[in-house]
Amino acid sequence: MNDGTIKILIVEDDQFLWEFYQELLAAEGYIIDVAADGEIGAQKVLAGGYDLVLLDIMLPKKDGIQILKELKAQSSGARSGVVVVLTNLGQDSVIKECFNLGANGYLIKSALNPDQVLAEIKNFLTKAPNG
Amino acid sequence: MNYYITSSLVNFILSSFLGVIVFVKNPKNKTNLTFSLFAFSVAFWSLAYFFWQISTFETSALFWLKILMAFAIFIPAFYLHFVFSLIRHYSKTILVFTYTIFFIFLLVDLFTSYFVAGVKPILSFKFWPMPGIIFHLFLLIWAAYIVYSTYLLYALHQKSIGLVKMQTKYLLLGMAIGFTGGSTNYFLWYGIPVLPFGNILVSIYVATTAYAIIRHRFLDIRLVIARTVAYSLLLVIISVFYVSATFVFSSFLLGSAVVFNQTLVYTGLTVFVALSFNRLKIFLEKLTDKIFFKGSYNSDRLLSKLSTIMSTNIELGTLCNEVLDTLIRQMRISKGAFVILGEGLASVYDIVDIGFSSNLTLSYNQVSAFFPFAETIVFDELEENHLKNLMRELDISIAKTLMVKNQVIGLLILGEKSSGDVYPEQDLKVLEILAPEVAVAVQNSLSYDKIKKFNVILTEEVKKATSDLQIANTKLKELDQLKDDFVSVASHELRTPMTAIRSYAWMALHRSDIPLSQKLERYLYRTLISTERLINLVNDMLNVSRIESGNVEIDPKSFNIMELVTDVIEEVKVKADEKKLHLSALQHPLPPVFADPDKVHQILLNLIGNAIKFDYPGGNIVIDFFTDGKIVEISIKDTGSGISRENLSKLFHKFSRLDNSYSSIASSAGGTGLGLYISKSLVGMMHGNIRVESAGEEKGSTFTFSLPVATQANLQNISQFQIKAKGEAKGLEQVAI
Repeated sequence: MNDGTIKILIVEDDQFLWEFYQELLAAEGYIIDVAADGEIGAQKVLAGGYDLVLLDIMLPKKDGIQILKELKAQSSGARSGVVVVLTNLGQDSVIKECFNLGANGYLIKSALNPDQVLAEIKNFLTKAPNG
Repeated sequence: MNYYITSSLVNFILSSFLGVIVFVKNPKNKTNLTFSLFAFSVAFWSLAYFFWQISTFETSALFWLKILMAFAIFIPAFYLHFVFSLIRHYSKTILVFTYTIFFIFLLVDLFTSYFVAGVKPILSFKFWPMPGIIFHLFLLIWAAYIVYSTYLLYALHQKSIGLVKMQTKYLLLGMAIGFTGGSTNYFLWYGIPVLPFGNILVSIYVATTAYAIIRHRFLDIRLVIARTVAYSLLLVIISVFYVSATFVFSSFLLGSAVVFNQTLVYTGLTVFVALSFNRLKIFLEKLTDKIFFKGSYNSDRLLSKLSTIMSTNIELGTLCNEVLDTLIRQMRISKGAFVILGEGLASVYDIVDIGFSSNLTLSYNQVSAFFPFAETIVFDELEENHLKNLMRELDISIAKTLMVKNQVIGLLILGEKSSGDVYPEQDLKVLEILAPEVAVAVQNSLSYDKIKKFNVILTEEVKKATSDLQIANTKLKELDQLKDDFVSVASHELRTPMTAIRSYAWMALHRSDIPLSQKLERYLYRTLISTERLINLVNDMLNVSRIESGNVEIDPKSFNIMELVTDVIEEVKVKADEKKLHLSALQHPLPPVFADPDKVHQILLNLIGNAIKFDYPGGNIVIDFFTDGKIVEISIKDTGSGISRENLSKLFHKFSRLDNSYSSIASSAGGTGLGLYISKSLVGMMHGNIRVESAGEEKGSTFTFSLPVATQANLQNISQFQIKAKGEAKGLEQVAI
């Protein structure tokens, strides 16, 4: 549990999954915001103010790669803290591209148990400079 | 000299002159022979007429009259014979009969008075003959023969075409006028007061015949006539000069006749004439040549030049153009064209033309009108018909069918001579000789041209086929891409709900707000691990599909294997800790390996993951290394259930089904049956080996794989270790542990 000031944005189009992550993370005391498509996701990520962003890749309207590109191009930069890709795309090439575009982490949903996801997120938040 | 004396003398000179020329040119030719006999009888009739007219005594007048008639008698006989030889088929009986009759008349004329009974003065004539009894019969037969022969000539004129038609036209004209003129002599025999004013008309036949000879190649003696005209002119000029010089000198300079001086002058003039004669002769020959043989050339030289062109040109267009150009310049022709036929097809393959105002277009139908004729078709020689109209329409004077072995290759057509003249014999002969040669040359060029065009078509076809293949290939690639995309998207879409199931099962199991019964907990746990298996199965199937379709590339690098193993241990540490497994790597000094780190990572995850899955809680997993300098071996030893001897060999097969005990553990641990197959494939792609050892069931197992050492030799032969993806390179799905 933490003091309730850590804000996490979940960019995820699958309702069951975002509700799951929301429940999982809210129970840990994080403040959760959700974007259900790429466009809203991009707006929120670029607006900033999050300690951590969980970003899916395959999203309606605008995919996660594009959001990462826009974020990288943004001059003020890095206002959304840690960006962790959370997706089911497990190809090396995609993973490499995401890291090249500035993602701080890459988690494959299907490969991890929820407690593993939690552990990773906690890990990222402690490593993050503003966490 | 009165008119009758003069006209008879003129008739004699012209007729004998013509007779001599025609005879001398070709005495063996029957037409020439009979014509000259005819001309001679006219000539000697005229000569006797002359002597008769200048006779002062009755006896000599009577003598010359009989001689005159003797020649007149044979005029119809030779006339008929000449016409017979022109029409080329006749009855010898008629000829024998004719000559017999007229010979009898001759005897009667010469030796009796039944032909010419005597002479008497009538009008201005002192000694006009009186007809004997046989004369009436003779006159009747004479007229009959003239009419019959002229009729035959007319019939020939009617049925013939071309040159012969033109020739006979002028002959008919000459004969009609000549005989009409000559027959004016017969009125006075019967006391009819019509003077023989028509005598001079007799010479008309000489003029028309000469015209037919020069203009229409009658009797083929144009050159002789032309030369004769040249010499005659020469004779006249020299005579005029000579006579006038003599006159001037003797009249004005010398005054009275001084024999010595005169001789001197004549000698001087003779020397001058002798010296100037040849130059004058050449000049006049040139002049007459210009008039009669416009654009004369050397046939042999022209033919040899054309042969050179034909033997040194293979391009159809160039060949035809050069031959045409040479012909047109040498023969002084306005224009010309080659029409070349397509082989075996009733079609025009190509037309090469020079001098036609607009590009010449001809249909096969038009051209084929000329084909039945093997001879050179000359516009002037044609009678009015379809062909002549066609030639007029095309504005051409000559058409020559080009044939090789009875096969029509094409047509050579030529416009009129620039001079407007008809085509001389020389041109036609050259064309006759040229035609077969040019036909063969055109045929050869045509074959060459066709091969060339075929090559172009072939190249285009190949290009098209290649582009078709390229399009097909692109489509296949697109399809392949589509398939890959589908598989990727489908597997992603599959994983999303599976992730949801897994996550909620986990939540039910770990975040339940009510206590779970043991049964419910077991159900939820099995749901959870089955979902995990399903997810891993999808990932492994994707990887197998990518490896087997050659979409996975190997990009070898030199790297430290020990570091990679340490990273992997770090990755799986949570899992190992969950099962309270002891996981360690033994430290050795190792050379760098030469392999694709991503793929080695995948293999290590699979093998270490398997060890974690299949070892018992509290077990010990040891990773050891071995090197001989050429390879590095990495072995993963567990203390798990082990593998029976009979199952060891099946282990690396796809979906290998082991015996119940193993497979039950495998499935309960989330194995897919594909992981080892993938690892073996990847190791093989990187020039390594993989093997498994187990002392037996419950005795643990050791998986060992080898990788090449990054030796200098291997680094230099990097291409041997590289594998390029067949299509778009695909990475591998991360394997869950």
